[in-house]
Amino acid sequence: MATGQLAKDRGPHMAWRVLSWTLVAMTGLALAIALARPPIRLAEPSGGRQIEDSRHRTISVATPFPGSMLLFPPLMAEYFLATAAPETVLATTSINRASLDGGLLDSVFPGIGKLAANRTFPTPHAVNLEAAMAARPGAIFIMAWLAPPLDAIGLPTVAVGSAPREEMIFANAQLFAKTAGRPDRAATLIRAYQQAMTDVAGEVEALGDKERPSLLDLTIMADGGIRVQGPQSLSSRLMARAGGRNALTSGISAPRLSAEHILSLNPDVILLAPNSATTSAKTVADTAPWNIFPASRHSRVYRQPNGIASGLGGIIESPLEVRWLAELLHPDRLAPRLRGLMAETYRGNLQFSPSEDQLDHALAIEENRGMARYQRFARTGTSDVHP
Amino acid sequence: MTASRSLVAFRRMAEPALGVVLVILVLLSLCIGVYPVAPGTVARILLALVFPGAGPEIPSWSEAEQVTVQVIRLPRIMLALSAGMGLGMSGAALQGMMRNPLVGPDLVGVSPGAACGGVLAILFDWPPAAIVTCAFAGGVLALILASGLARLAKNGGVLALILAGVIVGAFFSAVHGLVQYLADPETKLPSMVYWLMGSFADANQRKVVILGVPLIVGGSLLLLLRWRINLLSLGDLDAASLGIPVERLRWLIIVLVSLIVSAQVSVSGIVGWVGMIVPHFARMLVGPDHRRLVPASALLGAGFLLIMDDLARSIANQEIPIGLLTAAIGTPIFAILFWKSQAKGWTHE
Repeated sequence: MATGQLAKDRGPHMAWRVLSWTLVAMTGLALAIALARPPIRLAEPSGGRQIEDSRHRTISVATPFPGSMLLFPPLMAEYFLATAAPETVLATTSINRASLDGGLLDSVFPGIGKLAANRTFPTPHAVNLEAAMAARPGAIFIMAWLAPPLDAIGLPTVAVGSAPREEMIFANAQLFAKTAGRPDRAATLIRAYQQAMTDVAGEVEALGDKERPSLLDLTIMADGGIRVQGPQSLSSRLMARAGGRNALTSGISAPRLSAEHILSLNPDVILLAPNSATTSAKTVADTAPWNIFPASRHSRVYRQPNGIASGLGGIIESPLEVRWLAELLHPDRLAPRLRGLMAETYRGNLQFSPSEDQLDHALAIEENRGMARYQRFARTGTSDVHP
Repeated sequence: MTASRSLVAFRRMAEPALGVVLVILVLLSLCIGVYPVAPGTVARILLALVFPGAGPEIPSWSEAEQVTVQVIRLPRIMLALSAGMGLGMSGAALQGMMRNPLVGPDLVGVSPGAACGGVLAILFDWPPAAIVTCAFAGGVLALILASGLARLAKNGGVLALILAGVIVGAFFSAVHGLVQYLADPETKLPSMVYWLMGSFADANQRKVVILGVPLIVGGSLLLLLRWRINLLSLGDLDAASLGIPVERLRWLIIVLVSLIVSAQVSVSGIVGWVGMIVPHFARMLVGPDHRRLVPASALLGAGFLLIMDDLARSIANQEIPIGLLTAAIGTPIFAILFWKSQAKGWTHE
């Protein structure tokens, strides 16, 4: 009786099992066949301009240029400066937009503020491929190791270099300008960069090792930790160009160091990155444990200038940074020309005439109030008055 | 008697029903995404892919739509399904084997090992294929180290293997922590963090194969062993008295699970909680019999991870790391399960 009931129950169950497993198997097989087909890619635009990116890969960019997506760490300012074409930016990342906060680029290129929120990607490290495709970009600038998934579907992906070298600044500026259809502009900016560096070098290259002050370029983070620019960093290279030397001579690109380690390095000058949690140089110099450092006691702690793009170096700003540093390190050798040079550079390269207040902001006058010889950058001061 | 029979009937129906639901979920997932593709177009593209000669000579869909369905969504769905299946069945097998419902598939430190390999590859700027290879190698290395360490213990058995796994896992966690510490904070570090949080965003045919092969091999063997897991769940003495080589079987299960998990971590980063919570739900649906529980956990894991991935890729312009979603949704579910089970204790019935 019970066996009969069980057999009766099993009939429909068995049919159900067979049917459903057949459906699952058929679907699985169909998906596997579909997946095994050779993948297709989006077609390259015909008659487009050819761009060679940092991987030496040739990318075809449509003409007229539909616009760029800037998906890489905060170099958005560099795109604007290298192209002077903000209207060619279709989309960017939040970190790029945030990097412009407090800078002067909004005044130079008012179009930046019009970038739609739905075209802002929080990070370049997890790009949604469908969203990138939906934006229909003419070029996607991204770091080389994040490019392959975009390459795979045939999106015009231009890998930018992220190595901290001046050559990379030039290469990126050329890529940006050429993609936006302004290759001549990059050449002009690179010539100006090299000329500015040569001018400073003429003043400091004869210095012996002992005449070159030791420096530490550090970022004070929100948790109080300290990250220092290492010997392989761009900052280290710019220090050398300005007649100084990095006090940190070994280690990785941007190590975290303890205050004790920094004390052991005993730098003559401390440079604070503009994105430090503590912005005022005097606050740092007067606060423990920094106040025991010789650099603090001599008021030689400096907040780096904001420049036009919130302290981000690059094709226009790096020569100004080097001039700023050279004037601070060797005030007797270099005439106080930076303020005028800065205004002249912005006028010449960006057709932007900064006001005196804007220059004060760019030079971080307020953030460096009370620091040795900083008065030379103020609007009225030309003398090297020690406070 | 009637209630018991209807419970048995429900359990028999539930397992194939999960398969049908999964098929529906897959078809829906193919139609979901940020790039708009109409369901009819998705169906036509799929048909043309499966039966190449049957479609129209000039496709009625755009190239971008085909790329979306064929190159972006299809590999991704297959990868999410495979990962979910692997994690689900691994969790069920281990929980049964260990007679412990709090066990997850990462028993011997395979995930930290794979994570370590992956972040090292990112640190050295190696291409995505190398990240996958290094991660898989890291996972297998962790398994070998844990096994070697366990063999040093006299009469340690599986307990020694698990302790060795904790040690090896802690070591690899420290190494990948150190690698992250040394990484460039603006470029490499975010890449590592996102990779570790898990994602199927970079899915492609190769990754499906990388995960598919260990899954087919390891999964098939786990399915073949599922009735033996029933015996293991009775306890060592009972299992041994029924002629089961308890130690050898446990080692085999751990090796199979570790292979599946290291392959999963290598293609999609760490996706937590799936292997731990899915078997509990599967147990509610099909009961404690591992002959049904293991396949049901595979189907349920696949469905769960597919839904999570649909959310991860569709609710914003940005990819949401799937590890965050599974943890954010998995932990409250687990808390509810824990709370409900307190009254009767953690049992398999």
